[in-house]
Amino acid sequence: MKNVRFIFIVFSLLFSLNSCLKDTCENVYTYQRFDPVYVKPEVLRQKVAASVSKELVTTGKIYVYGDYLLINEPDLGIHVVDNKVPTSPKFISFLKIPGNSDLAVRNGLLYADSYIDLVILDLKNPLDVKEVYRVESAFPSYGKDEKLGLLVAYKAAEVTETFPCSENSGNTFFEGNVIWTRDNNSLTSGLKTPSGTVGIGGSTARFTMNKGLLYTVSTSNLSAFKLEDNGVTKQVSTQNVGWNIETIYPFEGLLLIGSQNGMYIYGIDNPEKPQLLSTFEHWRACDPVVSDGKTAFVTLRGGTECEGFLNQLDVINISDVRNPKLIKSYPLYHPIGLSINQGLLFICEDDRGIKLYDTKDLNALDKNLIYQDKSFSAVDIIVLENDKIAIITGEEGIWQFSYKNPAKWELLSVIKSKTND
Amino acid sequence: MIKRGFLLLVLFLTVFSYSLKSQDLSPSPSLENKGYMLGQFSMGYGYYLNGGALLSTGFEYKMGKFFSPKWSLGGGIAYMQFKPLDGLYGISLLSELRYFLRDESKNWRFSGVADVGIGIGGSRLQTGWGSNGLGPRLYSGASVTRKLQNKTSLMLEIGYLYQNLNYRDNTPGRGWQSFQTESIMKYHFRRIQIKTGLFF
Repeated sequence: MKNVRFIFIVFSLLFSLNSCLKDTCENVYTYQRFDPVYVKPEVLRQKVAASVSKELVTTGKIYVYGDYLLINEPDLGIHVVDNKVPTSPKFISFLKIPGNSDLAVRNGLLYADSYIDLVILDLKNPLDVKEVYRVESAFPSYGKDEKLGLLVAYKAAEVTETFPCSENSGNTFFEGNVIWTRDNNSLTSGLKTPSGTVGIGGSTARFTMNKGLLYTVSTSNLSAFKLEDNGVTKQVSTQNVGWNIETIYPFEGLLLIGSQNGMYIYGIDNPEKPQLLSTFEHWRACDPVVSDGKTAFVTLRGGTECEGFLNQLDVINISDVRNPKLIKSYPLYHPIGLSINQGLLFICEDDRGIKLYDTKDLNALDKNLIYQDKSFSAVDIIVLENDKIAIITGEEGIWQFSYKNPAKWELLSVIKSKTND
Repeated sequence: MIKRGFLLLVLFLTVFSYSLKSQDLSPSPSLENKGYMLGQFSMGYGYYLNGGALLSTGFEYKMGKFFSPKWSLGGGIAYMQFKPLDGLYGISLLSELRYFLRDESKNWRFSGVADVGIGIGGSRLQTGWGSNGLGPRLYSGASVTRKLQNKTSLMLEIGYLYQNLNYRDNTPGRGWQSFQTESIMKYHFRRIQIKTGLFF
């Protein structure tokens, strides 16, 4: 009985020690934190000039201009690459353009965004590129601070923190000018797309040109700039086109604008002020779009960046641009960029590489897969029709293939980005 | 309410322990073949994060072998609802080491026990589980065993439990707010436990 008493006393003492019986809990939480990026006007508006070439760290959008391949290094600038021999591309200079993510070239003039400004550079001599004009505040800004300068962007950073479970954080909150969110998407979609391509065949571009005009899309605006050969550029219109706008693609008097909620078709009979003709809506997803004139091909992808859960290709009849009609949807893995050229449809499927379809039967695309390569990650593609070359960007770099035999591609070169070495 | 119920249970167990007489049945049938099975119902008492007292409930099932007249080693499974309202529960695999103060000829015996285990948590609030991480469990206690009939003994036990369970919340967001949330709640549960069960 002494033992029982002893046990009882021991545990009675334990009862009195609340701390020994109190639960604890820590929450390991991963936040997306958006830090404000301030740039002093005098720093932002320093004249851009060519500097010595440097290594590609992160692959952004690309643009093909003659024998040159221009590669955006997100937020830092543009690499100028001599791609005359696709089997041996050579980096020849780097253009330091803070806040750059998009680009387009016309008549030897390079148009590039620099946070809220549009800069125009003379690209005729890639070794001696000079800034010839600048449209200040061409794109929406977030405001300014007297001391810190212009608030030009919010930069996402993933932060993992540990705090007591009893502290319940909201989905999004502000702390000074810093935005915190549990969401991986709610703000990034309005900022810079991580990578992509610009050009006639490009599908994730935010800049495109037509009839002496540069059209740009921001998160919610479509702007038109009138271009002069001497570089002087004037913003002639800007209009709200919805929300979460992602891409713009021109074809035969039309602008196809991809947003996370649908595809907008704008006519440019009045080039300086595009008119909305029709809308093709879909569930929320990212959706680059290309077209051969009669048919629009839209890839929808879901996931962290794009919300939504759709991963498919929508084939849409746009013969009547005021009444687009879905022909068929095809499930895909995680499609991103795409290109249509001479009846061949190229689709980048993220970490499952590239697919090539013959579009002779739009109702049976899935039965007409000509080629597939899963050995690399593919985000977007430019197709050089004459040389039958496909330039594909991915998280790991840039791949160049010859597809003279569509069923058997030949690898020409790989430019690896340093981030993914 | 919970606190009062728990105190009543403690009182009952104390009175029950004092009422046991040592001059009853012999020998202990469960030890004849040097093996045992033990099923236990457990009640745990502790303070949740906000300081409120909580009564947890669960059950355990173990099997073991005596490797000497007083020592046994066993293993089994334990389930416990740590916070019934939110359905926070844990399932653990454990092994226990038990030492009996008195030999098997006695009708009632005292023993000390320690177990170690590893558990996985689940919660009614989670949209799915399976991605939850594993967490350790430690327990030590003392028990009294009273022979009821030839092959069955009644066991009462009191002990202290620490259990770490990790709940991963991967609830998809709604609307524009978020696509997906991921947080890992690392709980450290501390409970004083009272168990009653049958020793076969």
